[in-house]
Amino acid sequence: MNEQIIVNSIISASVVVLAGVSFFLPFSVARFFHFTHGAAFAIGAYTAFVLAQKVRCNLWFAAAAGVLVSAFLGIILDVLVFRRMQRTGTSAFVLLLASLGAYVLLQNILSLVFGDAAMSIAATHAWKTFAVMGARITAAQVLQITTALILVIILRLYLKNSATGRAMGAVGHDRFLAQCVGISPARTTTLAFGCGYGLAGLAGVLSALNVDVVPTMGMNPMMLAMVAVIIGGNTFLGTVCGALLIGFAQNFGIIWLPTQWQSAIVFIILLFFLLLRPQGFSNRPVKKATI
Amino acid sequence: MAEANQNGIFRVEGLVAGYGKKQVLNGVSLEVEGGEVVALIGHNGAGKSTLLKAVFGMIPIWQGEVYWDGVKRRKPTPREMLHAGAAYVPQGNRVFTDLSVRENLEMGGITLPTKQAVREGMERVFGLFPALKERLKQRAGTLSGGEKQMLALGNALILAPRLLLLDEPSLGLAPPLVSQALGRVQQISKDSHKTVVIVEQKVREVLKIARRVYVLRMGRVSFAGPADALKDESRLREVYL
Repeated sequence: MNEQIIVNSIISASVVVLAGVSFFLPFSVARFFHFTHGAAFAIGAYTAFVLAQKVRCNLWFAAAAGVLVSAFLGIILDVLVFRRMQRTGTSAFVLLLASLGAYVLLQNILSLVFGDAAMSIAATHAWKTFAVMGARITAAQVLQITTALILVIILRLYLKNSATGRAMGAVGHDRFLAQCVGISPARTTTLAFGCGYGLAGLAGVLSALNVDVVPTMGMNPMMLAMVAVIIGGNTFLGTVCGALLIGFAQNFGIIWLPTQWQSAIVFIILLFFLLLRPQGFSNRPVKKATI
Repeated sequence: MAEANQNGIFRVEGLVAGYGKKQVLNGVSLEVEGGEVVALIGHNGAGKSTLLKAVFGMIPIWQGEVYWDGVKRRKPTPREMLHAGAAYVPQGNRVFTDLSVRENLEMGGITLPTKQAVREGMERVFGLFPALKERLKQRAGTLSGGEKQMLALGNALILAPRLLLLDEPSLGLAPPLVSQALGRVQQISKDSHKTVVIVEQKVREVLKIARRVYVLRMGRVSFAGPADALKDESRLREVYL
């Protein structure tokens, strides 16, 4: 029983990690809560669903297409909406509202085209279960956990060492000064939206192998991602730690609490952090990683 | 070290620029010789900072041209200007406050092609400002005013520019530190023959280090001449007030 809770925690955490880091990337550069992230998640899943289920493409190809379509969505949204608003000095709050509006629009388009009924990708080989330390886990879940792990390592190295990754950090810290040292804030932001939404799409595709595909499927992971970013103190490793904390708290919490409290637990943690430690994990992100 | 370039002439002709619909510069022309320190003074809102931003490509130029090294530029971009050997230090010694001193300098050198070049640039900066080397891991936001000025300059100097555009390096510094800070600028210009355009509110102090001075008023040049000419208090008041 306890082994299953630990495995379930890791599975939950891997979703939140994927959603968290993909949310973090554009957020850390553009510094506003972009609700369209949830749409990128769902659109990635629907793209994969259509290609794998309707067109009968290879599943890997369908997954890659989901990532690309979502990445494209991120670029289009930034160039057509966010960049224009940011150029005229629009506040982060107005950008939040604009992205919320765009999210509702995109979600409704998905509803119109595909309906609200739950659909699923019949990837039977992905549902094969394994027993790990007496706990059950599916192949799709193993894939999701592995992807999350690899992604965290790659992104960490990318943000630390590559020129464009460090440019993202610079723009996030001080847009004007980043421009002074020769970085293009506009292009860097677009790149962050492209990468972030591509990864959100990837998270959506992986989710689609585990759970049903519905137009609102991006909302919950996005809310959890936002909480992870906030309690992570808006740092990359902090976000990862926050996501792990959320995954474990959700699953361990229901040992003592009824299952319907699973979402509430996350927001209790958020309140706890906001009241007692508003800087989140940001001061010592690595030390707290051992939670 | 930067190559001493006798031809590092910086010239602006009929520059018109502003923010949104508000025109701030109404046709500014000026010329700076290679290795010369030129001060840009004037009241708040006269367009001093706007001029620096426009010539460095931080804001678009509406009309007019910028010449640097004999190359005419109608639409400069910061990256292009940096590659051409110009660097800009924004108002009040702005640094990345959340990053460490080392990370700041790495950002300053982000356009350099290799890590080796960044290392060399850093060593050069430490040669000028040894105090920074002792604070490599310190968060830039916790530096003192003087150190912050060194770091802001360092972020520009890591690229070994031949033209420095400085916007109020004395802002936020305690009075005794002002002449020290400006002295550093003068020393850097002298040692490596850098062309410097410096915007300042501390007029008397900047006149000590500048060879020539331009006074801006309402987005136009209202006075241009040798700094010595304004050392006489009554003359200064005449052109400035």
